[in-house]
Amino acid sequence: METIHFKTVDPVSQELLRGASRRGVELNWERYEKQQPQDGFLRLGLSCPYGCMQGPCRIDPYGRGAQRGICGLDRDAMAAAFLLRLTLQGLWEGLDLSGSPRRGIEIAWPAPLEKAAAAAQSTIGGAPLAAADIGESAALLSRPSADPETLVRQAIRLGLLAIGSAKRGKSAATLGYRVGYGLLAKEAVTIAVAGRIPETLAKALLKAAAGRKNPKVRLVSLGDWLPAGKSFLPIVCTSGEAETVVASGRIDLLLAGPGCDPGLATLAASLNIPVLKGEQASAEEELFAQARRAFDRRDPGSFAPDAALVGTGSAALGSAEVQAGLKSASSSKIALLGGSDTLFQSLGHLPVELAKALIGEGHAIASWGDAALWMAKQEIPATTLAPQDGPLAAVASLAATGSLTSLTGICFTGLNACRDLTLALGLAALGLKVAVAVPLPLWGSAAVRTALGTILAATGGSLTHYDHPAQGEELLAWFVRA
Amino acid sequence: MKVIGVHTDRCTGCKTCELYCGAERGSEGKTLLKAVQETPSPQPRVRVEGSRDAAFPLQCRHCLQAPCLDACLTGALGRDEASGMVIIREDRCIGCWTCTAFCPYGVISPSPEQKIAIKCDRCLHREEPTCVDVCPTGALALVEIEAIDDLAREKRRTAAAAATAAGNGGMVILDLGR
Repeated sequence: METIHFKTVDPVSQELLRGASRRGVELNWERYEKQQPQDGFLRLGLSCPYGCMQGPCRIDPYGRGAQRGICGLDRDAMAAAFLLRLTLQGLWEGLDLSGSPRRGIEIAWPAPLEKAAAAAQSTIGGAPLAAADIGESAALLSRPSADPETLVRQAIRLGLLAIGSAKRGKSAATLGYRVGYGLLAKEAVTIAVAGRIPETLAKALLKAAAGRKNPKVRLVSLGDWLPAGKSFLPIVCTSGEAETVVASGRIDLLLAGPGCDPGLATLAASLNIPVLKGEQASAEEELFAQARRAFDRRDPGSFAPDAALVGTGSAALGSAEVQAGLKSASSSKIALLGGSDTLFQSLGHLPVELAKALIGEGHAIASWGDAALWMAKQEIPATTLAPQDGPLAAVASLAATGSLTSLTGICFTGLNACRDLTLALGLAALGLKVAVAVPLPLWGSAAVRTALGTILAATGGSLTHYDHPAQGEELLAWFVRA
Repeated sequence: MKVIGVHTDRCTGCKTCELYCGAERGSEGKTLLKAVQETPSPQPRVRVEGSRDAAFPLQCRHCLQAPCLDACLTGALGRDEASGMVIIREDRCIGCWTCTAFCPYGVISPSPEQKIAIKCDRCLHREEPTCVDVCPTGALALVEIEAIDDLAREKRRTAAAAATAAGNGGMVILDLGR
């Protein structure tokens, strides 16, 4: 098989994984392994993404079988449409429609990037970017009609649109955070939150939990960055380790907000841990009572981590704070390193090893997402950026101070949602050097890869991606070559 | 002797065996994403045939009386004594492709680029053949040839029990054994 790897760099996680295995508890890793090898046609981008009822069609990558879909679509158009579909999904995930798709979107470029955005739009071509691009992309994906280059161009436009429509940082804009297994050290009724819950709810629950004694009650996040007043909810693990923590025997209730993986809720239920949906949390007394009952049922010999295993930091969300964070970096070379956990790679290995190596090469690091959590856990000095749009804020800040030339590259060490892919594409379209460490479904079409590279090169940017999960040395070389 | 058996009821025609066989056996890169970039295109040793209703992965059956062995002009095709598999020694193959005409299953393919014939050797260098390893539904399995009769008997027994349970009293499934 192609993917023999260790699961995580964290020795505590390794121990928890062994414990879960001994008890026969199946986690995301088992599901990942059962999914191997993942569908080869989809991995290559050669499974038709058009939602027609003649299919599903696919192209034989070796040229022996079908070379066109039933409608006549060829491999290049198929792979290009697949890219557009993923990018459209990514844009949609990032839009803040506040529950109302009719509100539309506002396009406002961060001032220092306005010129770059205008230049990129002019190079890529087409009408000025607008919300209508979403509908046009959907129309392009309704029936095969456009050529591959048009589809790739539209995908890049959506990447730019994702940047233009991204929410800007607030004015009061640093939030502290704590991360690590040490947060679970003391005995307390533990309520874990996964997915997105409103900040008002997080604050209310924190307040209510603070008043409870004998036993104490604590609220932790399972990898999500959830604002709760002046700090994020304490984050006990990265997103890839969430199930490992649920299986540790230390969680007494799971509060599953929108975006919580189904596997997490299923696992909790199978371990007799109560699971409540976000909206059910308004009944605080019932929530605490259920958690308390589960706490009383706990195996006393369950996981007892060292209290010292806590990393702390402060995420810079506003532009001034991002500027201050990057300015305080003593190096003239800045690397942006972030993204989500992915089971394609040993959890934490890439961000940690790459950050260490880059620091050794004289770089300052700014990070976001799970990668930032890994750096905090491993006490690697790095500026923490906003969890979702961090790299954009950093780029805007560097552009504002005229120091964009010190940016040697932006690397997504892992992708989880399509949103990250769309953002990567948008950043590359702004003329930046971007790398993605996990394979993209573009390897079935050399023409699409070439079109993507050529269009981005015309804007001055690049999107490097690999036909294998990239290793630290490759990415280090990629940064250093800059 | 171990052979690749096919549970026809489990094959969905997904062609995963084809893709990964091509990568493992036909490519330099040994991974799917590298294989598709190679020229000439890798040739899988297994081929999924079928229709909407049924699919079947075809690869060399390693016939006990193999016509390809008799057809081979240079002795490139031979039987591996240890495993019982019919294998091809590429250095002796002259690319006459007589074997491809004689194979009753059509599972020996010409490789015009390499000027040899290619066929499944059941991945003798591996513990388990790639196609068996990657099959997502377990339709392909490595089985002792002697166990195939037992498998077939078990299937007949299961089918008979199911038919009886469904009240198909008029249907009789004969278990004739070996």
